[in-house]
Amino acid sequence: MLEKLSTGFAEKIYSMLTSGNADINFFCNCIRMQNHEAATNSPINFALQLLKINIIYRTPILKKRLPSVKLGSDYLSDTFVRPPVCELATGVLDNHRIITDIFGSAVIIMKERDEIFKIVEEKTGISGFAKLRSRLDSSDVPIEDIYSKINERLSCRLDCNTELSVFEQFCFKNKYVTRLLDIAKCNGLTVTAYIKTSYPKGFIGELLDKLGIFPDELLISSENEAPVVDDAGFTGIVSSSFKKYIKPFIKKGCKPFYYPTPSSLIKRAKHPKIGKELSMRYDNICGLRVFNGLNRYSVIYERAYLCYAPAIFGFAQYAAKAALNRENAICLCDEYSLFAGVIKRLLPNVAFLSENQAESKLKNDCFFIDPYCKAENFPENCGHCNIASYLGLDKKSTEHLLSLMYGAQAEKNNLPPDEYTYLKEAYAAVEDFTNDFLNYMKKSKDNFTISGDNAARLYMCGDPQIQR
Amino acid sequence: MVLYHVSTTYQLLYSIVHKLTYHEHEESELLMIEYIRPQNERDDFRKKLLDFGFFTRVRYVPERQFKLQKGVALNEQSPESQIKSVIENSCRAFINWFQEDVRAYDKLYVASDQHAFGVYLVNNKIPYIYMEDASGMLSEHERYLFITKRNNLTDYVVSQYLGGAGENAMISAKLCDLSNQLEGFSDPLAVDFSIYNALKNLIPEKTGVILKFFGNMTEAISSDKKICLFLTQDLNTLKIKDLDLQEMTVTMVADYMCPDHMQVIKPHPKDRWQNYRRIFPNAAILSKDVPSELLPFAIKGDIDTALTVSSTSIRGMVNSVKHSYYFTTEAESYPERLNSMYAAAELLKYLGIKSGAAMQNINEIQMRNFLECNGIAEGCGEALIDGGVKKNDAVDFKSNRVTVCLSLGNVLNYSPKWDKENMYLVTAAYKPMQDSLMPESEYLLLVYCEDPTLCKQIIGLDIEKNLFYSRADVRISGKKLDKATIDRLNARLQRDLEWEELHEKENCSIRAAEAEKSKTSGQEHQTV
Repeated sequence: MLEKLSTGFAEKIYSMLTSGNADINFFCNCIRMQNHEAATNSPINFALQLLKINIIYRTPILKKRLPSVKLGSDYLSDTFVRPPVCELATGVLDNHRIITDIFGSAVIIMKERDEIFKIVEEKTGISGFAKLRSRLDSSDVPIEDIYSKINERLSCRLDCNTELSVFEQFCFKNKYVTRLLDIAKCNGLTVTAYIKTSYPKGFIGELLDKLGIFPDELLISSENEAPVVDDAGFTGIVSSSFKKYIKPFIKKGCKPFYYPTPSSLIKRAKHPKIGKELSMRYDNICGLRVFNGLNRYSVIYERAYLCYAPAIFGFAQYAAKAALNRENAICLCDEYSLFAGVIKRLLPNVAFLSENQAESKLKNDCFFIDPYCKAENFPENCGHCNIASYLGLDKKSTEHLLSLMYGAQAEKNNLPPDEYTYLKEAYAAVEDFTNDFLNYMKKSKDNFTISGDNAARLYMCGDPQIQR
Repeated sequence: MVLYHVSTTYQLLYSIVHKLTYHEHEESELLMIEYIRPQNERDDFRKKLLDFGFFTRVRYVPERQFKLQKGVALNEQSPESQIKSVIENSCRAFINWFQEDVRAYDKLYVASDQHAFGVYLVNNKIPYIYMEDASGMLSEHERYLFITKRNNLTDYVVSQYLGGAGENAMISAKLCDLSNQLEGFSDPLAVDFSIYNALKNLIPEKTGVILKFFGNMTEAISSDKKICLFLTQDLNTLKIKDLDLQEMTVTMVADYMCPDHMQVIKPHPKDRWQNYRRIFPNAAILSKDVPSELLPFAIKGDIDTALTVSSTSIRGMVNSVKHSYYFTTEAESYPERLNSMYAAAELLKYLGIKSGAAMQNINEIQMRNFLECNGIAEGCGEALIDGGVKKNDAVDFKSNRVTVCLSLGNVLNYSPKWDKENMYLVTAAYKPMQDSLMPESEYLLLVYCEDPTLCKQIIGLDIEKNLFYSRADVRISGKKLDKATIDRLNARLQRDLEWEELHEKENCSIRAAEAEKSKTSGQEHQTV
């Protein structure tokens, strides 16, 4: 029977089994990506697995009973597997044209619409703006018309520039999808950006230019523009919105390339309770890194990035803030240690000393940062902090974290046998987390700090001792 | 009748040239793995091959179809029974499709024997002539196996079992370009056949028709600037399949070797993923469908330099260009090392060193490129470059006017026991611009010098360069070692040594585990 199975027929069956809804499409692709060769070499087994996915994700009761994936203890990027961008591109390149919505795929917006409106309300001081703006929000109406109505109802004279400027602050390029569009362009495909937005075309065009995204065609819904699909069989649709964006095009015969946003993937994992403020930023920033689709990180890296790095970075923020008004900040750790790399980014003038050396450098009004909780006595007039007190945990609970931070110098290791690899991966993760958060804060002008409570919750869900 | 089996454009060209040289008037069949062309181009391509009359019959081998019938995905722990089952399924799939008697062909020329046809031949003990995968690849067997393994583990396992990739008893000869093999290569079955030599000397009258087939390409490239021909690579053949890393390495070598040249980019036939028009805004981009081996015959105009990161096809350009630079596969795994080497070469050039440069503890091919590019001849007596790939405290500082210590390995190339009186620190600081793929980084070069003139120059060193394609600036500056710097170097060395000890401990434990594992599996085999 297998001899008679043609690749064309297999592709048709695959397409049928993966087009049901967003979950089906995504999880079918995950199975294929988890073991590519098994999918092609044993097509019958693979089809049965796809059928199972279809049944589960079409049946709400079954879907609810699925075991949840947990942040910290499960290997998320092995569960939610993105195809490498070249593999996705291989399918895309069979087309002559791709249509994409950009926002949510090539560009990730780090704030919800309502949050942006609230910021505009704070900046402009117009009370009631955010609620009204949210009510009037429509991708079919130009922004100037929306603001006309707002000005009329709130008796003010606002223009949209503040909102556009705030919006731009929170737009971040998604390297995976921009790489995909780049590949499409250099292979002669026409890239059409069809964006459902009220924002003006000029603004969108400039924004995309600044982000290094250059579609061949830019169509804006509020300017009554829509793509004309005359070659549906060779038109691909790339979007993170399966129901509202992709499905209408599937009905016209176009090929879907569903791209779940990084934050939607990380939200599938059960999180500790870290509050809405951190959650929004954490999901977007960490999702972009962990589910970037360009590199697949190891389980060690992933855990360190998602669970330990927030604690280390959060502590560095806390220490930097506390040391800010002091004459001297002294960090009691090796200048080339993991923590040193992080604190230097936030407090460039910090000095690094061992506990012994520090005694000889005592000055009034200095501040000791003691990440490893090593020192016991500090002079009365000098402030100090350590990571255990920041996290609100006793020293024993932070042993694993401290071992990690101590690295090669750890006297007492709570680390696994492959220490070197473990530490290297963890260090890379903490560095990347620091870079990612700082880049976000710089661009969005968002001086958000990670509180000790939230950092502790994230750390604990990744700590193997506590897991045991 | 003869038969050729190919899977890449290079192999296709090789087969065409070989066939026209040795079997011009014989009937012939060409089997091409279907991946050689995208689906929407296959029919036209096949028709073109037939129209040009190179082969009597042309077919695409439906490997994707065969995969569906393999039955199971293999890995390196798969039992023999499973491997045999996959082999049987592959052979059955192939012969059901082929429907000819393979033994009826006078000669079988086979490249990429890890695919179904090769498996069929070895399994059925049918002799064939092996053709190397790419120019010079016969001498890079490990690299070839690595690529095969990464691209398809099942094919790799089967190939290892049967002795594919040219390593089984059914092979009567191995066709290859002997002049492009690595130094020291030898194989008793190797038979020399070079595309360049054949087109130049054996069948020059056929060059025109072959060029016409591959796109009617005769590029007249001229420029006021010197021309650099850049040969790119298929991402699947790289050690680390990372588009950003590939792009970064490509721009680095272009910036370092040919910053002022006009770039002419020759993409690999399967290199569909990089937008070279964006990466090299003013470059001429050649058609990727033309094999690079034809470029010496296709391009009118002097090519000053041929450049690649690690493509073996550059070896075919050596006769046609003044300079050729190849950076080995190490450039894929450790691209950051090139930054230090660049700084070292810039330093020597700045100091006016033109000859007598020696090197040790370093990738000599890479460092030689930098020296040659800066007009610095190798020799001894003037300068020594110690790369520090392996920790070596016993560097000879006295035999050269200047000694430059790079830290290309895991441990800082420095010892507290060294004479610091005549030691200087040169720093190469890289500052990327927005959207650059280069990270912000700093590289330390420790320089020993007793010559007062050179010492004064080192202290005054302050070079700024813009790396146009990499979108980064680099500043190379020098200073005398002071106490604070020495303390920091000592601290960094201490740290590096601790890490290295940890690394060695882990390596020992891995080696012990592997030894135990092979001991156990050896015992199991004996039991069976």
